Amino acid sequence: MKSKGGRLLIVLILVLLMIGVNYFFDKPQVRLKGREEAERFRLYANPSFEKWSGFEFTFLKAFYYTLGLRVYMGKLSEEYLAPPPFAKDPIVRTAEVVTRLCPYYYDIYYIANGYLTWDYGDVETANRLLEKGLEYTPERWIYYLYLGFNHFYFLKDYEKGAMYLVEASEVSGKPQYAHLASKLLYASGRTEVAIGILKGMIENTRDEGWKRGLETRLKALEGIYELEKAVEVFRERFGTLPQNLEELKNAGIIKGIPEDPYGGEFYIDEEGNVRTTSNLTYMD
Amino acid sequence: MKRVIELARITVKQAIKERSFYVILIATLLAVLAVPVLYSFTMFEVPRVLAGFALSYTNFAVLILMLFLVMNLSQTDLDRKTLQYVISLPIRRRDYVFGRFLGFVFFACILIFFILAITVPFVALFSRMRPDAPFYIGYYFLYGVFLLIEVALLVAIALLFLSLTSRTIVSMFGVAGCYIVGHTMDEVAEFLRTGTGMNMPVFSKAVIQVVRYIFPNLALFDVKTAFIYGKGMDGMSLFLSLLYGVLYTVIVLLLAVVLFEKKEVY
Repeated sequence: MKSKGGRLLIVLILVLLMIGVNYFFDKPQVRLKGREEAERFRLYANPSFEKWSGFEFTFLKAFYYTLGLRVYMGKLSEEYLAPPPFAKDPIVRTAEVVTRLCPYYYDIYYIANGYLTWDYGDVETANRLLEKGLEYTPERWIYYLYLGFNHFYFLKDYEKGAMYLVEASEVSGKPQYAHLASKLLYASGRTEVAIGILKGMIENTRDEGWKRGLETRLKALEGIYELEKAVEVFRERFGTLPQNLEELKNAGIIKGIPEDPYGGEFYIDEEGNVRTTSNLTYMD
Repeated sequence: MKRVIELARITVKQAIKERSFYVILIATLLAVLAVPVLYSFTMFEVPRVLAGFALSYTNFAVLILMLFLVMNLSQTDLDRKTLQYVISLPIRRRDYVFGRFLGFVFFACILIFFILAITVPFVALFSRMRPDAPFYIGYYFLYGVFLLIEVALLVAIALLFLSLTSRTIVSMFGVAGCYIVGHTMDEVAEFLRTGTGMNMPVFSKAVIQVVRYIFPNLALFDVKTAFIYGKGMDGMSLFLSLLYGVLYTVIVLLLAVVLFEKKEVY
């Protein structure tokens, strides 16, 4: 066994054993049990300590933590149709740590904003993070766009929303956002503005998964917008609001009722607003 | 000067003999293989993430390798009684320190720009495949200069500790300690300026200030994020950071020479 070939064989066997051990122990029953799902996510130290302990490698740490969050949310999406409530805390904590580690890192703002606004309704936290991003990268017009959208769509603060859209337009040099802002200022229909902003977001998204999510939302909003216009035509024609969507169809204003991609059904509420039973999230 | 250069040449030769170059080559090839993997994991701003990864890898690899190299060669000098032999030669002790220092720094310089040159085509290639952010190739290589100054400073500190003690493990911990303190003091000073920091006891604040003025501020050389994002520090602050590094290194090196002159070698 002292020969070169013999030693090589031993090395080969040991390497194969290593792979074998890894393969054998890569089973769910080896993982720790009995922990709550919320606890499965990593524990962070204070954001400042996370920065100190990163020494010169804070950028890599920021990337790694963000990736960890994406994997965590990805795993949850296999089990739940919508992000579960307990996942909000890991998102906020990761965003706070990562924006301290590297406040320039774009992905975390995008992810946190997406989840916090649409899935958890915590627009204030999302806006606070975006404002922080702007402190470090004021040239990133997309943050203004998100802020504009959040103020407009979620907080119903049209003036502030319009102000951010104008900023987005100025910083990006894209006049369409200023155009949207002016529409907003004259309150000419928020669904239309939401559609415009979503289209802008889709244009700027390279991740296919996120893009699909935005496209679904866009499809739903386009359905709502089409029905809103039809309700307006009905009101002008008959001087009254339609009781349901069937009336719009029977009056020949629409050919058919659009499908809600989230699995819900569109309806008209008492005030004539078009709503959906899905509330723009996937139904169980 | 001739003797210094000769010692530097021997140091580089010894460093190459340690097979460290092969280790770095293999590690760098693995790092290069990681580039497409990272590419597929990245959501936005691919060029920045890839450049950040490559620069961080260069930083980490060079620091670790140089630390082990300096300690290993110093241990070899002690074990094989090379040090006694060199000292018995008609060369001044200071030439030994300067020669070793120049050799290590020259080797670090080769390593840094070798790694940067190997990684840059891959970073550039994958950045081009999804050019959603700029890739500053000039900054990429300029970072090498900052890393070199940091390594030079740490090598000088290592030589200082080796002049103080004959136990390499003590020197190793000493260098690691300086590295940790050097990279955190800037943050601690920042903390002192916040509301909580202001309320700290005067004694603690005084200790922190003293420590801050003794240890090197290594955070000045951590310009990776600034370079990746093109958040240019202006030319003057870049120059001042480099000047600070050079001055501090020279002082530490002179201190090492003074102590080494008095060192008892058994």
